[in-house]
Amino acid sequence: MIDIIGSPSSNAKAVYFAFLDMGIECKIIKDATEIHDSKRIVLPGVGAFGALSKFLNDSKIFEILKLRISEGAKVLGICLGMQLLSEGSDESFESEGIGVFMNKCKKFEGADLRVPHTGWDQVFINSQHQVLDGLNSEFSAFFSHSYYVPVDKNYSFGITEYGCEFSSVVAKNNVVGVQFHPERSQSNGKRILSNFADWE
Amino acid sequence: MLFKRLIPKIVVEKTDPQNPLIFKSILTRAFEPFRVVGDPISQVKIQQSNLVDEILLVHRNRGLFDITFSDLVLRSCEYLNTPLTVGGAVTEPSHARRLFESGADKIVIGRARSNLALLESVVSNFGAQALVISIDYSDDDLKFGVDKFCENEISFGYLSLAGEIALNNIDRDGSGAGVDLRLVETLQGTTKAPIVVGCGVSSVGHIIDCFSSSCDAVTLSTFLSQTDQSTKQIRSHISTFGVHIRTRN
Repeated sequence: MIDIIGSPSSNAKAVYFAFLDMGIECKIIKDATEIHDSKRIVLPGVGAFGALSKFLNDSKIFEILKLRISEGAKVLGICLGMQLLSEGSDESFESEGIGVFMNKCKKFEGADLRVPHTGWDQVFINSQHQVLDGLNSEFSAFFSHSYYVPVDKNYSFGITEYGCEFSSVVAKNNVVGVQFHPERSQSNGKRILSNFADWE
Repeated sequence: MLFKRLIPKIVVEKTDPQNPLIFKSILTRAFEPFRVVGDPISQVKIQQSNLVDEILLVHRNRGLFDITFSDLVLRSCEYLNTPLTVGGAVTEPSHARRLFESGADKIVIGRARSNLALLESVVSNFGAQALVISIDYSDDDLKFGVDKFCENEISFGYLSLAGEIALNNIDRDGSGAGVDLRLVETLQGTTKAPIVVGCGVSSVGHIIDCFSSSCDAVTLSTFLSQTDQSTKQIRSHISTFGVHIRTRN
């Protein structure tokens, strides 16, 4: 069973349908008490850092999620959900992240750079991970974001270049994050979601 | 390197007063209904099977936001693992929330684009990347020149909030006369947001013309419905002209 955190601004339904389409059991949860025993948790994206951080704090999901991570539950952060796994973001200075990855999200800058980074782009696998099994070393995925998690050799498993190199896949112990939307990235995305469901 | 995008546009409308809950997919000319194509869910499934870059689902609606449209969005999402952008008389934050909760990745705001409070609400709750501002204009709107028109649009103050700008010349819609690219260069100098153009494509050459400008994506509607071209074929074709487009997943 995969628990998908259904914040008011997330596209949790899209993630739900993606798992369902592959016959993987999942449900959308909105209450902290529902993830007390979760073994696999997805924190989906679409939204603003401050709004998602506030929702997680107000609903007490933030502290339970931190606890479940420390107890070894497998967690997948998608897009903004991945950014929430870092310490914070320039998008909302006063809001805190979960802090699995000790870095702050930055905004894309560049005179000729279109922001947001919207569309299909390439992910270069930097280091192999079980969640990336079966994918080419370079694969395409759908991105939609204005902020990024900087590259860190300790946890950047996938890297994409857009004005600068940024982390498109991060992983540390039982936590993994993807900056793109696997639920919208067709067969490559399905492979990642399926791998997450099987990740031991 | 970011790929250019081809986006099939599915326009829906409630065409039968006897069945007020049934949406039909339609083709339009100058944004007016021209022909009923069929069931929108079938259209969604066809585009999904073609592994398109993104789908734009629009409710042609001159009235108030129709809550049943969000049910269609939800049903579409059941079949999609492709990005979905939706639009249809969004004038309040609650409309946007409803569409996002139904599975939309981005929403389009057109008529209400001068309502900065609405736009700010969408951006603060859902992020700028989720907001597409659509500028639907006619040739008549350009009678005092492109610069004057763009100046007026810039004065609304929404450009800094937009995650994407969609440009649609209504007079070109369904005409097959090629896409009006006159606004692209002027607006791209004033916004960092990606630019999507549409209305008027009737040949692969028209699409190549679009990508010769600085636009990021092209929407296709009549061209896909009235020819035997699929986006797969088109992508393969235009890539041979040097357009950086996805030709495999």
